[in-house]
Amino acid sequence: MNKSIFAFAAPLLMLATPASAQTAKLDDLDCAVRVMKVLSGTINELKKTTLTEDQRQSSTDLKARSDRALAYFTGRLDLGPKIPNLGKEIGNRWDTAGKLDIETQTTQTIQCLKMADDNQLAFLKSAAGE
Amino acid sequence: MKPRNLIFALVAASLSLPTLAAAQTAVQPPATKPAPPGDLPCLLRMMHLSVLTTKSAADTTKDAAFRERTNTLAGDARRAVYYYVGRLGPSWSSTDRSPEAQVAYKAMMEQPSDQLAQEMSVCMAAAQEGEKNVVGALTPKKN
Repeated sequence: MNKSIFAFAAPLLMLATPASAQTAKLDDLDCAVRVMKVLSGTINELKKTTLTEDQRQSSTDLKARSDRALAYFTGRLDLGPKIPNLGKEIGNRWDTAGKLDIETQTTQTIQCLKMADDNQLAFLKSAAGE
Repeated sequence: MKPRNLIFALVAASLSLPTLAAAQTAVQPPATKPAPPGDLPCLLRMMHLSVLTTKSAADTTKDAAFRERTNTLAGDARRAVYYYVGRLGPSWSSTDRSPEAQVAYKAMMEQPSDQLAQEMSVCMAAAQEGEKNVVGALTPKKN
């Protein structure tokens, strides 16, 4: 299967199903790269004029969720320790992620999206004293 | 309407202070760039802005162009919320922070509307600048 479809098709399918119980060890940069890949895919997907209303809505929802998750990981990276040779390191992570099979990429991306949402929820609970 | 003025208009309208039209021209860019008030204050300001903009975008008594602008701003505010949650990090949220959050929230709501709008604008700009820096580095370079 062409991996280029990963960016929009696989996550959309997988988002409707529970994420795998197994979680990969991913740091903030790994997640930022994965979320960025999905975001790029949804932006390209939304340029298509052939999408049905449901497909457009699904891509729009995923774009919004990816956008927020990317903001979360950029906040983490922005405040965290500076990564030496960031550009080269990003290239390496990008290539590594691209070599994974579609199912793994999808599962890991969902893990990253969930991590961002879970931390936002944790903030709300902590701030509310729950 | 510039985002800065739109923010002011929404804050002013929420407090029933100046009219929307008057508020649109009320905020001028500061002579020097003010520093953001901090991650938690900025996060609370972005959450508040998110609520105001979402409410305004759903208000069918407003014209379509205004609703479209507030809808865009709502998306920006939600993204900024996530950015500041990321900056605070999971360790911040690992304990009950409600006393600290309540003090910060109370202080925010007691601010004059023009100051609150100004700080919202500064927080938004800081989040967007931070995102821009990292996302710029994340975009793969084509050979």
